[in-house]
Amino acid sequence: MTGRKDDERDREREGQRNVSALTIREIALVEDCFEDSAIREIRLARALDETAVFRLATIGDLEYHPEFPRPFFRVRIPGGSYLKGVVGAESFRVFFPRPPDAAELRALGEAVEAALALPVPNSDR
Amino acid sequence: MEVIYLNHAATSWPKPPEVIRRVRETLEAPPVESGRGNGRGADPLRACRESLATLFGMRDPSRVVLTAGATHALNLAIVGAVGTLAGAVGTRDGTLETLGGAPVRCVTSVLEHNSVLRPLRHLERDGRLALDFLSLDEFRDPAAVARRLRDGTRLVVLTAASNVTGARPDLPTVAALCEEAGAILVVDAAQAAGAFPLDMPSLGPRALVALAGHKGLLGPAGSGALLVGEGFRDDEVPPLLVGGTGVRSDLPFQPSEWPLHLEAGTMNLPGFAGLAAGVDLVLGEGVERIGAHRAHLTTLLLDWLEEIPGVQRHRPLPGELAAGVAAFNLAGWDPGEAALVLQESWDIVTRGGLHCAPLALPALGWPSGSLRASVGRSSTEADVHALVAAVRTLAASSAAAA
Repeated sequence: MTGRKDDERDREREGQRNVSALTIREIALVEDCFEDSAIREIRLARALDETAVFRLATIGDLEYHPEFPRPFFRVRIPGGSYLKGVVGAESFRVFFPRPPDAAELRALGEAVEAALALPVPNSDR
Repeated sequence: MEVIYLNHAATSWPKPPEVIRRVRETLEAPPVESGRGNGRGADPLRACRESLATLFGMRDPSRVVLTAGATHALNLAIVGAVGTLAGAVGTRDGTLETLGGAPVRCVTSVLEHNSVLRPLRHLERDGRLALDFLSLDEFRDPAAVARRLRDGTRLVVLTAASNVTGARPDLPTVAALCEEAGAILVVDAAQAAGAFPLDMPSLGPRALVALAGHKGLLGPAGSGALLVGEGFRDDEVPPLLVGGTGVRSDLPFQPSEWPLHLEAGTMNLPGFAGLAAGVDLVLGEGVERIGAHRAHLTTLLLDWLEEIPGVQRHRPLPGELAAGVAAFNLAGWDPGEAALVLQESWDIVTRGGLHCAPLALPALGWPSGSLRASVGRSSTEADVHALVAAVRTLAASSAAAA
């Protein structure tokens, strides 16, 4: 009986985690006016909430503007990249100091994953 | 939140109900063989041609060539002009047989859009064109064009209103100089059409004017026109595309008369029906009146932006304000980032970047680009006020962060 209750509790915890988990659908190239864009968009399965923004802040310095109609965040991460977006959106952007290679994208994905407790994104863009 | 649209220099929005209705009616009605003179219903191409001819003071609507947009029209104009000036023979099957010789000398400006710059650059790369550029200061000075014409320039390609700064050249004077020198004038009127009065006869017989249908003329994207001066023979503006015309199908080559030789393939009937409705609206309200509205809002925008610490902005001359563009930058915010925040946080649509005019922004001292807010016929003082309030908040936030 005890084991069964533990299993139920585990399932319940897993369910709660799934409800709150943010998953990355893809990391996409965002074209800008220059030949090699250094901007990528991290697309999520659901909208970012304020809690998620504060989790992202664990990987850098957060500048947060709750006074904007949709609160805006800018996280400066070591190496000079920025995460930028708004609460309530299903994506945010990464502005690298130069066009990233696959390793840099993977590192960024892992950092975001660690911050949001997400699986590693399956993308090299 | 309601979207506040201040990106009319890219494309006008929302489209007027009359335009939407005309597009829908064309899609719903039984198809007519437009332009062939044998349909039972209204002919959208003819209506569009006639409305454009009226707006631009042209006697002959057949010299209004309907195109997929300003880029298409500019390619026709530039390739045709260079071929003509090089002594090339435009053949009716769409090829251009050049007779060799020195490249054509052409002057354009640092304010041009890529729809001008790239066709010119391609011809330059092929050795068919020698390019020279008017600087920002020279752009408004006909004497700078006159100097080039004295030095052998035979092609002048200029925007009628910059999509970044709103700056305008003195086109009638430039046109007179070109006529005197035997040069061809190509005008990119993508931004100017529907904002400033533009009279084709005032540009002389050897002018080619490209229009976008979806900006100040209020039509759908995918519509535009090339206005051809009365001094051009049909073989001086050869087609870039050849194919079906629906008439004279027994000919092995493209029929030669205006505008048929430049309108191969099935035309965008709903698009041109919508453009005709947009042009009719502009004719009904008056370009001067619409221009005055745009100039008023641009003045308000620039005046209010000037009061915000950290804003750097370019100020057009009074006669250029109807272009409706305000280019500016904000300390602490990259232009692309500022445009993103305005859209994502405030639902205000502007544009950040180079605005497809890659020489203009560096010339203005903004190599990373600028923000650009642009107003149109449907813009209001409330729209402008909302943008200024948002920019003020952005400026305050960056000042606080600093």
